[in-house]
Amino acid sequence: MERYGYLEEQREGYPVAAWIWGHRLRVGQHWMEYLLEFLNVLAGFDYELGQGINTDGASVKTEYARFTRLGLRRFVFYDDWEKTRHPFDDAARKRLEAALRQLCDGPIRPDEDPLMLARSLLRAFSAVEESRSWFAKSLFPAHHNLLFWEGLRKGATKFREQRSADALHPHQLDADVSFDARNFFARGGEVYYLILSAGTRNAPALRQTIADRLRDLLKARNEALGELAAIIDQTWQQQVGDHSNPTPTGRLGWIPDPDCPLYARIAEDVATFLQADLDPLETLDLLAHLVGFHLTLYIYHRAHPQALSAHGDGRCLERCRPCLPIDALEGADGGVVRTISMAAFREQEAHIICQAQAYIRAQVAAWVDALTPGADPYAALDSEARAHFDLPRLSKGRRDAFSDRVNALIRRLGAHPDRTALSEGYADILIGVLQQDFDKNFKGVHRKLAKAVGLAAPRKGPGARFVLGDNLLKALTLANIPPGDGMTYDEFLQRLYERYGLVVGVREAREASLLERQRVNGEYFERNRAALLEKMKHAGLATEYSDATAVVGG
Amino acid sequence: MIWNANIPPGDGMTYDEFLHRLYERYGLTVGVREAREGLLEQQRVNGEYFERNRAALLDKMKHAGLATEYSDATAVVIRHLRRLNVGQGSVFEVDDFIINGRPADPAAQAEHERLFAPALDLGGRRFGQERMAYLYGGAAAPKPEEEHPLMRWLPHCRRKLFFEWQDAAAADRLFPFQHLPEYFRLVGGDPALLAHYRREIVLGLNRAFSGLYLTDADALYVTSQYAHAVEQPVPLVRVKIPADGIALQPAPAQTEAFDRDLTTLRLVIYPPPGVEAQPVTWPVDLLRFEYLLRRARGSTPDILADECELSIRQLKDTLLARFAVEQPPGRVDFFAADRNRYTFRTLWVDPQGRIRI
Repeated sequence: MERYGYLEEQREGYPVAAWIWGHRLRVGQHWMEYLLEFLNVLAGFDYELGQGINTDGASVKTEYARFTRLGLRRFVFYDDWEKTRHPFDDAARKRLEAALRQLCDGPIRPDEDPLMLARSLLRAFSAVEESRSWFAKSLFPAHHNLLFWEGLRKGATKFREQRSADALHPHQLDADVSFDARNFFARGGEVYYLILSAGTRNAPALRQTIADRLRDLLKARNEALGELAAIIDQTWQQQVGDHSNPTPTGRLGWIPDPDCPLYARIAEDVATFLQADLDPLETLDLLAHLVGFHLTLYIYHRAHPQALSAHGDGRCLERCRPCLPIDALEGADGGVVRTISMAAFREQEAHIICQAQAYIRAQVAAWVDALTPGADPYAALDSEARAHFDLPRLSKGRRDAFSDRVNALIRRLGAHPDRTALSEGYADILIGVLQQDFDKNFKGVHRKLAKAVGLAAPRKGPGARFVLGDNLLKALTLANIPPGDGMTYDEFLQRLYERYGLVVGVREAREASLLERQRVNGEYFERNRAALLEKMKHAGLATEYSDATAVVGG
Repeated sequence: MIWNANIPPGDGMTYDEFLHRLYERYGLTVGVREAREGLLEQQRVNGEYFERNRAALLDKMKHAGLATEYSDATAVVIRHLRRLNVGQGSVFEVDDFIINGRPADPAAQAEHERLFAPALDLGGRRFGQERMAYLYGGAAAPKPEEEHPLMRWLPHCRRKLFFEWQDAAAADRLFPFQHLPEYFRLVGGDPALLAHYRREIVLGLNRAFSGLYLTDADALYVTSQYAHAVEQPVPLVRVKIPADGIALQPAPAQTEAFDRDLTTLRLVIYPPPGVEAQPVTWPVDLLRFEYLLRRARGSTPDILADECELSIRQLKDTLLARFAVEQPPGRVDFFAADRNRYTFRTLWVDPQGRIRI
């Protein structure tokens, strides 16, 4: 399989999900962190797409800078209620505040304190809290200067030292904070960076447009906020002085099948979306929705039963189109469309699980085919499996269970097993062993993302089905219709189906063979279509004329 | 006591009815309120802010509560309250009156009989029969998910009641629009009245735009904020338009459906000083008027928000696109919590790296 991104020389083994959906998407990443990580990587490459690659002819840069901005984030997040208090950070905050105090003009009254005001202003941009420690929190990137990478104070939770931090130099206070934890920036944003880079390999102008628009969005807007953040952080950097620790850097992961046309389609969407003339905060917020939507779609695309072979020759868009019936009626039809949509949601999850199993089976079958006569087949398979799926990283219990089951298989099939039985038996064992990690870390990604961006409802609780939330609907409209253009509502629905597999009206339901499969009357989808139009009219996204034609955009 | 038109009488006070009464009296619902309470725990709001500004925090939660999607169970309650759908079902007094009459009030009951007893339909009996079937049920009652035939009569009955009841004030009271009489008076075009209500509309828009309980009606503040703020939201002010630069006017509207001229209201928003642009015109129909006036008078985003919020967001986008200009370098305008209210603040960052208010 062809891969695109940065491949570590020393490493061959990855979890099964990485082999199908790239390295990597993990359920622990907060939905907003996909945008944050993506923008951090892009800004860390100085707003250039296509950098950090060593698979496709080496790019100029191999590593992106990780912004630390310890001064800024201590100022914003570290306070007396911090859950991970540390004497070093107490000392650092005290010194920073004293230095900042020097920068404030005029007498300070308690309710007229510029620093308090600045802090509450910046604090309102807190993007992810989730009761994390200060170093793992993030700011919504209203400006480039608010971007920083996930940090980790090593040993902070177990810290017992009684030594006073007052005698230490500021750079010593920062020394133990590292920037390679990847607890929350789990590489999902990198995957999106890679998707846009792969999708614009043959479209340099498009690539440049996307990067320039994002640079403009993060650097040329909200400049005063950016200056405020810069002053705060620089004040701390001046304290640290020449001793400052070197800027940490990071390397990308990789995605499979760089020629998959879905990547180009996603890049097109982003370029069109970024043309819209919206408020910068609104643009970023809608972009976060679009990123989550695209990654969910990417998961479904690659989970499609036809997906093992179809990427790369341009046919996969047609053949791996998911079927995502949207419930726009909110149950007003007695739940007919909702039931269909719920079934489709469950089906997608089943596809994801089956795809992982199919990958393992195909892999084992290939190893079995390649076995050399005379060699010990079990030892050969073990060494392949260990290397390919990185089995040593599994817990000892899992590894022991794996050995036990392989031993049982040896007893059952003997030293010279039938190849088919060996392939099947060994794949079953491997599936059993890898399942837990897959279920825990990957299976829920689509569910979490789809619910967060408004592609699935309800937000909590059972009965998930596909919907189109207000923000997502707006983002999709802007991603498909450039400013000033328009198309009829029916064309728009047709486009949503062709590009994403979203089924709203009766025509799309028929094309997706939903009517026959579910044996329902087309009238339900007709009402579904009307309900979505109603919503779009309310949102000002569509206009209906007296001759009953509705136009989206325009 | 108000009977819920969807639930046949005889069951005592139902939960729906209870919710309805709460809604009528306090402008909020139990379902929504419970959702809000849940938020306190979910968001683990920083205690510092709680101490510093309890009132503002509560407001923030109200805002957040309605901006959040709920689980199915909560959504059911909210959707039930949203049922303004003509003929689909209703929790409003007008339908209760049509179906149950008002035996306790002889004048109203007489009016009910005058309007609905004779010849509502050609045969003269169908409506009466279906009304009885609805009230007393029986073997012919449709399945729960099917619409009761009586529902099809409701739009007609509402219109009849609205246009034919002699005592217009009494009829108006039955409709869920608390501000209907004011709307009628404004459409008449009294300049003093229009100027007065313009302030209320501006206040309502300020609250709808920012999601906060702002109190300033001297200017329209077009704000922008991080929509998923975990802490207290601090909206940045992108455009500030003096209230004097906004006009509330009666607007003639022509539709093919009516044989007489129709008048509604519109808001004409002129660009703020120093900005060259065409004014923005925004139709204020009864629904938007009702919603903004409720917000101006202290209501939280209620059932009407769902119908109105998207169009208000659209107005905000238009105003930003047309009127927003880059601030002078180093200047940030925003609303900050200041004891029990939000005040307009400006923070300056000068090129020498100094920070001042």
